Amino acid sequence: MAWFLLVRLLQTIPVILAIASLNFLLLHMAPGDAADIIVGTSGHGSAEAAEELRRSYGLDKPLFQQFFVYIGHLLRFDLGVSIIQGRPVAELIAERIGATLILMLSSITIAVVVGVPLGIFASLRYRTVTDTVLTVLALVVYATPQFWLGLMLIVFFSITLGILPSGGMRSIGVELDGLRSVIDVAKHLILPALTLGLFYVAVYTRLMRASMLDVMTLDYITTARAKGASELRAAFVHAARNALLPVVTVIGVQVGHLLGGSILVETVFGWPGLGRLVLDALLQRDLNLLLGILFVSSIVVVATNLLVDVIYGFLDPRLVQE
Amino acid sequence: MPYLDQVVLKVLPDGAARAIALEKGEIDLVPQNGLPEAEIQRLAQLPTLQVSSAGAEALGPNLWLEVNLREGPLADVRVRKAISMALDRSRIIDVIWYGYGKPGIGPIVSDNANFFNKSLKPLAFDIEKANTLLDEAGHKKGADGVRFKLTQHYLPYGENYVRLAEYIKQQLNKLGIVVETKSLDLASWLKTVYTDWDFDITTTFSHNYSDPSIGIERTFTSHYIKRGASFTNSMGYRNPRVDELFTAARREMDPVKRKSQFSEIQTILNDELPVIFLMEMQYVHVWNKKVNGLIANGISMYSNWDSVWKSE
Repeated sequence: MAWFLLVRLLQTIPVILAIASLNFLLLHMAPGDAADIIVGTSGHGSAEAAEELRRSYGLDKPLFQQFFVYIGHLLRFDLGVSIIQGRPVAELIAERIGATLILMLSSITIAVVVGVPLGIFASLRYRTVTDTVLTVLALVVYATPQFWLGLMLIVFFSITLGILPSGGMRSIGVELDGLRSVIDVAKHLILPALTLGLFYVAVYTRLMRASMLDVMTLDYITTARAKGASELRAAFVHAARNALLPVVTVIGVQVGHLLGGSILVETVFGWPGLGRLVLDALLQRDLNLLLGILFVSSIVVVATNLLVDVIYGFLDPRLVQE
Repeated sequence: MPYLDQVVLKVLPDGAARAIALEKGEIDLVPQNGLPEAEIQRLAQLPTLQVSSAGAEALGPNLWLEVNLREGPLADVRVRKAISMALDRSRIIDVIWYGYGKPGIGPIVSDNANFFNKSLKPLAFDIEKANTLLDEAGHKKGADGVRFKLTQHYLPYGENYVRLAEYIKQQLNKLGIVVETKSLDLASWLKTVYTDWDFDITTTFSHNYSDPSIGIERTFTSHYIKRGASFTNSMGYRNPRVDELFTAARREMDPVKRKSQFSEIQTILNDELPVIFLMEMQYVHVWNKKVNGLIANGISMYSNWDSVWKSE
C-alpha cells in the first residue's frame, strides 16, 4: 500500500503542473484584462492609465515571460497578489475555502448517506412499484436545474414555512459564539447543501441500484444465500462492498463537478465560498486570483482522487497488489 | 446623529435571492434597481415594504445605443434616424423595464430642470417612414429582403440588456437590417467597444450627473476619441460646433448663457443622433417601512445616512 501511495503521489505532480499551465494559457486567450476593468469601471479612465497599470502588474510583458514568472512563483507556492483587491491571493482563498469545503463535504455526505441506501433498497425491490417510484424520482431530481431547485427550496422553506434562512452563511447583526454559532451556520447550510447534494443523491441512487443488481447475480451471493444468509445480510454485508466500487470512483470524479456546481449554489444562496470568488475573479479578469483558485482546486480534486484510490485499495485489495 | 449603530452590506449576487431576503426581512434595503423589475412590481404589493424612485435625480441615468460612425451605412444620419424610428421606446419601457423609465429624447434627462431643453422633438416610432429613409439613403432591399448587416453588442449588466438586444434585432429585421448579436462579459465588452472600436452598435447608459460638463461632455466631444478610454466617445463623433459649445460652457459663468449653450448642443445631438437615445432610466429602491429618512437628496443612496433610523 505504501508503494502504491508513493507512485500515485508522484504521478500527481506533473498532472497539477500541466493543469496550471493549461489554465494560464486559456485565461490569457480571453480578451480584456484587469487594467480594462479597473480603468473602465472607474468612469474616467484613459488609455495611458490602463497602460501604466499593465506595466505595474507585468501584464505588458511577453506571454512566455509571464508564464515562466508564474511557474516560478508556483513552485515556491507563491500565489501572488490579487490585482483587483490588492491582497495576497493565498489570504483571499484561505478566507473562503472553508465555506466551500463545508458546503462540498455536506453535499457529498447527504448524497452518500441518502443515495447509497436508497440505491440498495431500490435494487432489493427490483421491478416493484417501489423500485419504479425511486427510479423515476431520481430521474426527475437529476433533470431538475440546480438554480431552480435552490430557489424553490428557498420559497418553500424560507418564505412559506419560515423555518430556514434564505441565504448567507450567518445571521446578520447578531454576535454568536460557540455552539450557537455552529447551529446558526448549520441552519444556513441546510438549503445550499440540499440543493447541491440532491443531484448527487439521484446519481448515486441509480448507480448503486445498477451496481447492486449486477453484484447480486454473482456466484458468491448465491453461495451466501445457500449458506443461510438473509436477503438483507447478503445485500449489505456481502454485495454492498463490491457494489460500492463504481460509486467511490464517481465520488472522486464529481468532486470537480461539485466545485463548479458550488458557483451556482453560492450565487443563489449568497454563500461566501470560493465559487463566488472565482466568478468575480473571472468577470474582473483578476488573473492572479483566478489562477490561484484554479491551482488550489486542482490540488483538491487530485488529492480527492488519490483518496478514492486508497479507499478503492481497501475495498478491493487486489488492485493494490496488481 | 448618526442614529444607526451599524450598517451591514450583504453581498447577494442573485436578484431573486435579494428579493426573497427583503421579503423575509433578512435585509432592509435593496437600492438602485438591485431587484429585477418583475420582483419590484410584486414586492410593491406587500404592506411591509416601500418602493420609490426618488432620491436619484442627480444621477440621471440615460440609456442609448452607441453607433460606430467611422464607416459603413451608420455614418449616414438617415440610416441612424431610420434605426431610431424602428424602436418603440414606450414598448421597451413597458415590456422590458416594467414601466420604470421615460422615452429618451436627448443627452440630458428631462428631470434636469436646470439644463433640459424642453423644445426638443420626441423621437418618432414609424417603421414605414424608416424604410423610406433607408431607400432614400441608397440602401435598397436585395432579393432576399436584406439591406445590410450589422453587429450588435450590449452592455453586460444583466438580463434587461439581453432582452433589449433581442428587441432591437427583431425591430431592425423589419427594416431589412440583419443583426448579429454578440454576447461578451464586461472586460471583453470594454476592450471591444472602447479600445478596439470593433462594433457597429452597442447599448450602454451614462449618468448625466447634475452638470452636463461632467456627465455628457466626455461622450460627445472629439478630444475624447481615445482608445482605451472607457465610457467616452466610442462612436468617433466629431462636430466642431458641439466641441466649441462644450468648451465655452465649461468656462461660462452666466447661467442663462450656459443653459442656452447646452440647449443648442441638445438640439444638434437630437438631430444628428450620434447615439440613438432610448430611455431615461429610473433607479428604484425598495426598503423595509421600518427604515426612515433614506430619501434625503438627489444621490440618497450614496449619502452618509446620518439621519436614517429604523423603528422597532
